[in-house]
Amino acid sequence: MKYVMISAIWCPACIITNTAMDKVVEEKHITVEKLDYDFDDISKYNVGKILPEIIVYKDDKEIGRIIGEKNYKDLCMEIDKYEKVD
Amino acid sequence: MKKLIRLLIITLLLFIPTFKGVNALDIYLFYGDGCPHCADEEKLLDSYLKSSDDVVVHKYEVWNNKDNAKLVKEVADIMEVKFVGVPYIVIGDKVISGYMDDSTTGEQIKSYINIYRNEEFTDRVGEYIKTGKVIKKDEPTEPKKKDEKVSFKVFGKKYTVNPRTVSLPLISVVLGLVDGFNPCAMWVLLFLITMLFNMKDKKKMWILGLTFILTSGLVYLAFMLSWFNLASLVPKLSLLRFIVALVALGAGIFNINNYIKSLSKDDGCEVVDDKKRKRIINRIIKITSNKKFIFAFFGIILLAATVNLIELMCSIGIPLIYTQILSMNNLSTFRYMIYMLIYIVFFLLDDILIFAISMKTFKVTGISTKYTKYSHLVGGIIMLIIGILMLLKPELLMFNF
Repeated sequence: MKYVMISAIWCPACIITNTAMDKVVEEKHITVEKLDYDFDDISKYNVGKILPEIIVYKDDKEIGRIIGEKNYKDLCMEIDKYEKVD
Repeated sequence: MKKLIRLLIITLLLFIPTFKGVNALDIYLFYGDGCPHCADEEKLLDSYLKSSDDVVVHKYEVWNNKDNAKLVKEVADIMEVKFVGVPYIVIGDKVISGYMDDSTTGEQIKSYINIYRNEEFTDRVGEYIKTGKVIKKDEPTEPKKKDEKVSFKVFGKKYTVNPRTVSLPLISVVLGLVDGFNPCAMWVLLFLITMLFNMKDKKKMWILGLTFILTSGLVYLAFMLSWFNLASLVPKLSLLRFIVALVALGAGIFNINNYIKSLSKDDGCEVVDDKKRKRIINRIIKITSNKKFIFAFFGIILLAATVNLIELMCSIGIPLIYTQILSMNNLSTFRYMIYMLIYIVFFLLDDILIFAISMKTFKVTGISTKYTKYSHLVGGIIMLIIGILMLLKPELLMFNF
């Protein structure tokens, strides 16, 4: 499973979710590619109007998106849901 | 963060009872621009009341202002002391027409002030100006209540306060805090903090960050003072209050609607106006990467001023309503300034906290969008209530309990 997290420096919800994501990465040893909304080329991801956006890939195929601010608990639940997908 | 919030609440609780529990004596001075005796009387009042915060002098220029010229005649009828010229001053139940010198009329004014500071009386002029109600001299009325105080305990210590003196500071704190949660200019601060980290010079980072926050506060203060001056120029029960009441109602409905809409949306940052944001981002990068500190310093001032002026439209409702409430309360200039400063301090509090924590931890901190969402609801309800009161019961916003 691969995760692409698109966030922005100026976005408080991204800062909170980013902190939670760092903790999740450390605990669950998942792979997350972090991209910046303003400074990286994100055109191919078709990002919506709410940040942050986490795109979930399985075998290079998108299987879902986690949108908006998530605290550690909520993010764990969402990630666990995808990690269980066969 | 939790500790800081707890500390903030405790500070608030301690802050409120520190206001003196006294009821202000309102005196009314009618003068003419360029009149030398009026200038002498004003000079005496200014020096005598320099350090007193329990006496408020309301000044009305009658030579150039038609409304005030009409008002002084109406006041003269109410007080039953003919208006023959300026200066004409009403202190409690007494009127002094004309001004000889400091040792005669001046002493008389001082003695009346001291009498009515402690004596119960009906403020007939104040009542007429605020409500239009005429109370004649011998008409039995409820006298102006002195020392109406409320007692309560904080941390086992008993405090006694007067509701009038607490209401305005409290409303300044609440509205300032609610307004501070407005996210419009917050994104610029967060981006700036991240860019400041690249400077690697803590002293310069603190100076630039605080300059940004202080300039933001000054822009707000300048806006509020301008509105206050405009509001003071317009006579009392005017169209202006009606307009501000409508703004309050509109902004209240808009904020509550925003809250309701946000319930069905994901919590997060809404991406709007890409072009404007990128322009500001490029400016911040240019400022913070400037090798010459002095250019960076003035660049930050300019940035804060322009960003806050642009974003002011996003949060114009609360400061507008707050300034209108202040202008309805006929306070001394000193008190206006103190209340506005309280508002600004609490308006900037979240910015200061975020900046200080980020600087200390060297990691950007953000306030959850959930709180921003609730600030829309709280702000909306407050604005709706104030709007209704301004239209139907404006006297309740004058805090003359």
